[in-house]
Amino acid sequence: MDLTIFLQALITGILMAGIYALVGIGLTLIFGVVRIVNFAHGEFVMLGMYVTFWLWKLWGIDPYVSLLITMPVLFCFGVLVQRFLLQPILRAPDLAQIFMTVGISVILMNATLFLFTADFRSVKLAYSEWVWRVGGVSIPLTRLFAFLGAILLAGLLTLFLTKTDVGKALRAVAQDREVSMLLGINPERMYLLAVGLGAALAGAAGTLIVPFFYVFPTVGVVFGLIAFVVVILGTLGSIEGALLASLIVGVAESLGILFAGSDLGLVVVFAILVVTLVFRPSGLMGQR
Amino acid sequence: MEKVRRSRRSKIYDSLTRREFLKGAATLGAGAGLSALPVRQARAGAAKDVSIAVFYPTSGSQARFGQMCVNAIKIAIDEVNGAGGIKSLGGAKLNPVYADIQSDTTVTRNQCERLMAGGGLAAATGCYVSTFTLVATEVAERYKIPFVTGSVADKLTDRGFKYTFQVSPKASHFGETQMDFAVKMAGKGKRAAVVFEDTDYGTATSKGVIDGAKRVGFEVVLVEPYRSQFTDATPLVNKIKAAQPDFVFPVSYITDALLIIRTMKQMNVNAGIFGGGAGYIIPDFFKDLGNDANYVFSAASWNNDINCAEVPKIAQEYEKRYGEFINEHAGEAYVMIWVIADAIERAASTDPLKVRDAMAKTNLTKGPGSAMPGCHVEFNEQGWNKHVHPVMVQWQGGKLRCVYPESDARVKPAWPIPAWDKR
Repeated sequence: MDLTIFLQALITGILMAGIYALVGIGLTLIFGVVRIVNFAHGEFVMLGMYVTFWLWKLWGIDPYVSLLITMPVLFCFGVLVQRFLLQPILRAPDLAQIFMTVGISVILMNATLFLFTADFRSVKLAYSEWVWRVGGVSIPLTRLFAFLGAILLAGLLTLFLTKTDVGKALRAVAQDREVSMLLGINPERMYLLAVGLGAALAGAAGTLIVPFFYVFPTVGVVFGLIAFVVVILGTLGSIEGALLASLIVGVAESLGILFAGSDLGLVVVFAILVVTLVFRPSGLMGQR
Repeated sequence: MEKVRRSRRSKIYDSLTRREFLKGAATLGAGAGLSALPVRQARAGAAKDVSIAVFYPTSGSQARFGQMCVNAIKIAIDEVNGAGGIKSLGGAKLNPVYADIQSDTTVTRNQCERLMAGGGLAAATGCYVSTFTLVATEVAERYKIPFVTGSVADKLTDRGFKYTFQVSPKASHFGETQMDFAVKMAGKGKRAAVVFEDTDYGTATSKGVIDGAKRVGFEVVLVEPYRSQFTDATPLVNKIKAAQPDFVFPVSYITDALLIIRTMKQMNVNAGIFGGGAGYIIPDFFKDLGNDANYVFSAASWNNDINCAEVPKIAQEYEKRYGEFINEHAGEAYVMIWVIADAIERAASTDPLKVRDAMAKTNLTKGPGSAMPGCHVEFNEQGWNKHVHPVMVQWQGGKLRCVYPESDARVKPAWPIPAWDKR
């Protein structure tokens, strides 16, 4: 095995992990705080992609600039979803909550299918073809940007959660809802914030994906499934866990393809997940 | 619909144990199309209308292809009905009953069961994706309803079914045609890499390619199945690069085709590309890749410039209505409606058993119903159109042109291909 081939696979996996992390963190944040599994998360990513695409198509706004619009738009969308769709069923049985988010997913997917058709769309940028070649390894700049953007956003979120009062309040609600109420925190506001942030991160992931991928109504399914693996492997609700898990998933997928076969990348990923769950039923960050 | 819903729901219930949680997530994801667009069931027309079930994925991952086929079918239906309908039935109109199979095998089975069990169908057609057509034809065989398809999997008409009719070339023939053509192009280079999406379509097509490569003396340096829903083609192209092929034979749907070509350019892998149809020869391919699409070859089961009298008219009408060229599957879908209309005409009945017997005796040498490569539609014992052959096409200046065999070729193949940075 040629060393550059191996390095290429390794780097490809690490770069992809950035995107997986961004999608996963949003999902795990929502679960951690609101205790709802958001099956529509992939569709949030899809919405972010469409917003980015149309901003570029209609007004020529560069995708990386449009982060400044996509994230607030998705934040508001998340807040509305929480306020009017999720809030009323917070005390409902798990099954109702699952069907609610699945329902949102179906509606979003089909609404976009209806509005924008099943066409595959993509943006063309002056730099979308640029490739940085190091030795024999090719690194497309758009993927590098996506990785760096994801790291930056994950870092900012961590700072927000650990250094600001609002962030600490958010974590307090995640840790213990009752006690946080005693401390004067309004959990319902924190729920709005959590879902808004989760959606904004999904939207950001969508934006960062657009320069090297395709926008179509069912694109969320592709990223949604991986996000669930990342979140379960890294323990539901744990941001550090999601980061670690996304790195494992990205690299395992890429190396799995290299060594086991291109149709087995996900099999390797799920094998790791299954083995992990056997020994640590609640994921890498959970207690035994 | 009730049946669909019930089976779905129980599936979700089943998956709710924690261990199955992820599988549940996957099921929900896959079933997300579930209550999707309600099945557009055409009103039961006037008593003498002839109902034909049309099964295509118009939502889900294959929606783009399915939609193109349905577009073409609408033209064919308008033409048949506009020309006076089925004359032997007193000018009865064809009444298409569209069912969205949502790019999902379970939904395909349910939709077929629902429409076929209801009775009243004279014939059925679909499904574009071989995997779904295999399911649909099983149901059709059980309900004894003639099912005409343009899907290419060999299995479709190798199973001894009496109600399946395949107008298109079989998957294994694509490989033969590709190799006969590639070997003509080959100079010193004989190294071939075969990569394919891992469902029925890619697996069957690639098998023909691999067998063909051995037959013409190519050295197969890589055989690599992949999942078509990948997010990144780099790992795959990385393996192609390592194998140092002179020819790459990829069999792909849409995004995977686009990502493979884009990534080959990014990683500067210069090899002749001979696609296996589908994603390599639809309008999106050029729309997305622009000039990078040029020089890419592909096998095709149909093309908008094949040498049959009716084809220019079909191609023009489609482009006029939908603003893009008609792709191979849409072309076949169009032809299939005419094949069905012809069988019903000769059967002079809407009874599916009689339509089936008439269809088995199909022998079309002119008119829109014959507009497949070979310009002759006649089914053999197994229900396969024995006069059809695949063609080779190439992107030249943004147009998809037929370059092989000589009987169908309109232009000479552009070869050898320049390096990526010289295109």
